[in-house]
Amino acid sequence: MKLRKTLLGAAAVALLVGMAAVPAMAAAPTVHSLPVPAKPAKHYHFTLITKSNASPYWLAVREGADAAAKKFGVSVAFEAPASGTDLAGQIGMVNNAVTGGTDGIILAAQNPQALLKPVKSALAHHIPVVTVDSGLSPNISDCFLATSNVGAAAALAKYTADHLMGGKGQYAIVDFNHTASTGIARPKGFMLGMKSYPHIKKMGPIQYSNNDVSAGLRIATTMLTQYPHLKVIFGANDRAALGPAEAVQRAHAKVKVVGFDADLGEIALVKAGIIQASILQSPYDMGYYAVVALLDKLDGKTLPKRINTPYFLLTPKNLGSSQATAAIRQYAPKYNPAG
Amino acid sequence: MDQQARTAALDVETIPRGRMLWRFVRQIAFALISIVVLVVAFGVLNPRFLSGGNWFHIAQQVAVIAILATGQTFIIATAGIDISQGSVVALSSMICAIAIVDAHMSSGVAIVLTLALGAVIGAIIGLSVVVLGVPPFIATLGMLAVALGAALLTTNGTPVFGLPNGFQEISQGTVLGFPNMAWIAVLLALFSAYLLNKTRFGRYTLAIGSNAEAARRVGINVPRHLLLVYVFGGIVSSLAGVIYLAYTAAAQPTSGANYELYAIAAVVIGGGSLFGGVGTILGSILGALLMTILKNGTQLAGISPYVEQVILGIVVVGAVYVDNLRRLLR
Repeated sequence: MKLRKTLLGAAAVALLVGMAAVPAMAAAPTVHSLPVPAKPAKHYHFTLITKSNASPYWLAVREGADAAAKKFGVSVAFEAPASGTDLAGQIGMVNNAVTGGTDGIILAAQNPQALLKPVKSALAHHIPVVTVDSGLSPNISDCFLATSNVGAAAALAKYTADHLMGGKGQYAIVDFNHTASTGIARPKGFMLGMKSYPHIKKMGPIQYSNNDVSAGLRIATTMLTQYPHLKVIFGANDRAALGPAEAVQRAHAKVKVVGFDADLGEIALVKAGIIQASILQSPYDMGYYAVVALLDKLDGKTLPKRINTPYFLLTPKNLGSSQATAAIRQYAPKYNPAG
Repeated sequence: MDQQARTAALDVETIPRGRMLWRFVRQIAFALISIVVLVVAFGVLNPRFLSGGNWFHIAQQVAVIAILATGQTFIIATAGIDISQGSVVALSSMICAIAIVDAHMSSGVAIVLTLALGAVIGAIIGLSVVVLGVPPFIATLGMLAVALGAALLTTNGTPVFGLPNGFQEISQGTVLGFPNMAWIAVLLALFSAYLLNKTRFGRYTLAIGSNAEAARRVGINVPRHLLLVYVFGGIVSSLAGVIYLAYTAAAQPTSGANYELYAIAAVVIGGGSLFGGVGTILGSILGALLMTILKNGTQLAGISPYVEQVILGIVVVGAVYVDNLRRLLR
């Protein structure tokens, strides 16, 4: 029974990834390789610590964790600094969770090295730690659940080159942050994907919007003037894609925007064809399966060190599909394609 | 006016000691009572709050804000304000990290260099205030942007890693079971309390804040003194940057954002007045401690971090309200 479920799960992921015409990343196991935990005898108290406390993306992770908590009869406290760059704040939160006697920690690390010490201290206190989205270097956590950012960005680049650029032309990159592991991996993956197209050229250095939509708008507006033959702008997350999309709309330019993530504003832009492709990650699943992984660990099971959560390549063409709806619901569980 | 008359004009010692002490207690009463209430409440909600391990973490977490609050106390006492502290922390931690990791300097040399940078930053702010006549808010608003930009420029935005373990001892090491970074904050606070209360430097600081014109008329060189206060503030901000770096073990150009607001809040909670002339180091340290206990305790008690923000806001406004009430009732 369990095996069948696992196979079904694997098939579902393959389908999801297959839909996007992307080769599956074979290296790491998927979330469905985690054993389904029995309802624990004890009421565990877990702590979820994300990078910041107000982004829709992290709130989706929280919703996933809350849903799993409800299902398995545990509780998850949510903690996060107000800003994604308050490193000392996040370190303090991990330390506080340890002294507060939490039973397990789910962490999206603001910085891959700086969080090593507090996580080591948690592990030394026999508190399991599961990292999601942004991990540690080296990965000392019990399990790391994340999108293969390099792989997903490379797949996006391939789609962009084949379907939006016809194998030639110019593109530019707006990144959201140069210090986070995700902010480094996505442009890297995108450029890697574009490398196999000799007639495609990156214009200028990577520009950084620091998660500010208006900064993205300003940067992209300048790009439009600077590079009149630009075909595509890649925005490395939701904030970084929204600014260029707004700039393209205002300038009535023919430039296409491709990006990462999907808040409801981005979905509308995909519908309008301004954003031509976006990688949708699985924040809800990251939160959900992080709780599952903690329960497995506390149950004495061995966890894979790294789990790739699925991603979906959303385009205006597949927006109406049920797979797209499922992928968008990872960000907005109440999303209704009709509404 | 000769030296004797000048000191006599500013001699706070003429007020009886008992009344001085009473005034001091009333000034810090709000912070002190709030801390006691919070400690009892959090201790009941989660007994682990009172554990030694937790106080160790609180001591680590309060250090940077307490250090910044010390510098801010002097500046606010002159009726000035420093809103550049957060980005000076960022710039200092970047410079210190680059000096150690990339330029292979010894930790000691790198720290001295960083503190010197803080002195230069303070001098620039001070000169803008006294020579160019720019209000402190604007002068430090400018420095906020300049220091942040400079911090980003140092490495084009990439963080710096790989600090030696010896350097990290500043935060991780202990003396008498208490983290080193907290000892540094305590020593700075003791020195600053002495400076503010027992020396001419401190009396001039408070006198300028109470009435700059009167201070000038009794013969205080107000511009020179203000410049010194901002230099002191700059050095203290850089010291906070060094401590922050040792604590996080990574220099990020955008770290320290909003820390100036916490430092200002600490001073205000501790009885300092933004109109100048009032403020105690102990009060500001208690203000910093109150905010740290609030952050730590709400997490341990399972209270939402959003609620913590709301409580913090109420505490800041409440502190000023209680202070006003006290004045009215007198």
